[in-house]
Amino acid sequence: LDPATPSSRPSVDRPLPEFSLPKGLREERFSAMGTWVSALLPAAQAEESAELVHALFAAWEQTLSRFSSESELSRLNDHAGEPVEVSPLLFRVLTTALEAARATRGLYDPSLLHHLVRVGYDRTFDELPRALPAGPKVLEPGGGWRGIQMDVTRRVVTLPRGAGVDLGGIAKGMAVDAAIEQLGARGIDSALVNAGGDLAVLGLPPGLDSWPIAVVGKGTSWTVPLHHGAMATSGITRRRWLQGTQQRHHLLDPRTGEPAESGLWSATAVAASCGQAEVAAKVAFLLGADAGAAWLGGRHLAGLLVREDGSWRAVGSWPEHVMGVEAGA
Amino acid sequence: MGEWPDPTMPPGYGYGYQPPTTPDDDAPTFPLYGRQSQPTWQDEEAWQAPDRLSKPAALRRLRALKRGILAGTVVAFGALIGLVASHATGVTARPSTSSSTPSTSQNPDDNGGSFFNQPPGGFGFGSGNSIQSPVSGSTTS
Repeated sequence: LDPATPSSRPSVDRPLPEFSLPKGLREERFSAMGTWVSALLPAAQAEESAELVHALFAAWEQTLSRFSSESELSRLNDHAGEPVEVSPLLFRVLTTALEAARATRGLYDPSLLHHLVRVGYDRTFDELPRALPAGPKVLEPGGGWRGIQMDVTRRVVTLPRGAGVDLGGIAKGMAVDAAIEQLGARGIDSALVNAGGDLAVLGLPPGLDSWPIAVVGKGTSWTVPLHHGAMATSGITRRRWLQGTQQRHHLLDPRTGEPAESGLWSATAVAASCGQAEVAAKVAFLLGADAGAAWLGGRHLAGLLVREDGSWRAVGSWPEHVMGVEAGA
Repeated sequence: MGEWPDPTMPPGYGYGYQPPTTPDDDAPTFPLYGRQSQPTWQDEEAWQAPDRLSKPAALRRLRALKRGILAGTVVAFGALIGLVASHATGVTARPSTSSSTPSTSQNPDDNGGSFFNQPPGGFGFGSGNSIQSPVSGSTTS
């Protein structure tokens, strides 16, 4: 059974619309983990809830950023080949990343740090020049994650010599999940946390029967009514640069070690958690429209795959009936 | 915590300790559950010493015993190593046995293990019948 429904309707160029704010909610916005974070919170509890979310993201960034030489992840990467005792947070995120790598048979690969550096992505994207000198002509496939040793009893991690870990995407998704969980534990019954496009919701917005979420296509967007769960989008619309004469982007294919060329412009996945959605969107993007749709459907996930020509393909329970109307129209 | 010994009891009692008995004890022997002809230490026929083994037979038995001990040791050592390995590296990433290149196989058994398990109703969409302006967006990060 192919759960995907093909469509060849080309997208129309149109910028992302302005967001509205549901009555009774307040938006808190800040920068963390190399992106912007937006939280929609009940106005009456916005201040303390925003502090909680902000503190959580700050702590996660401090531990898990590959761009800070002081972070615990950087310390681990600096000691590849040696056993390193790590914090519960780093151990948990790395354990989850390895589970995701196994579950995707390595299509999601958290050990591509040195590949990213070789294609020029060696600093935050905001600091990255859009044109870099020529880099290596040939890159090696990934797969270094298979040699990572995790000692659960002592919480000790040993990276293979020469390997490096980048937890950027999955850490962001898991931070969103952790924020939603903590808000729920504080008795908040309606919230949305969005970290650079990876988002999850808690309850429903006051007066609405779902969260209207704009999903970006190529030059267009649609509004999807997310009732519960999480959504993430991977694509090459933003983090692109030139290395010599070669166009590079941040979504590397572990099968080649090169930036992926799957014919997709973006892949959006919907799952129970943001960590799952983040990994699923990335894998679907790498696989391309047909294999990506089959892969998402085989895992009972929903999604939207937008090709480089702007046509799209909906997967699973994705609400196709909203695809005829552009967001904000 | 175990029970402390009763200080009123003579030394040697407590913790399940029983005073030794020998065949020389004068205590009478009691029949067991009505079986009247159970052998006792006094029953010479029932407790005859076995015949002496010939030397080759004894050597054969010794060799068999040695083999048994060796096999048991190997099995026990293997089991111990297995337990230690599974305990100490419970989530060790499995090294690749063939190639490090990821597979794109669509094996139906490979449904993502537990990572992509969706709890019942893990995510869902609303009807979206009424057109709403978006409150947030999922863009490429």
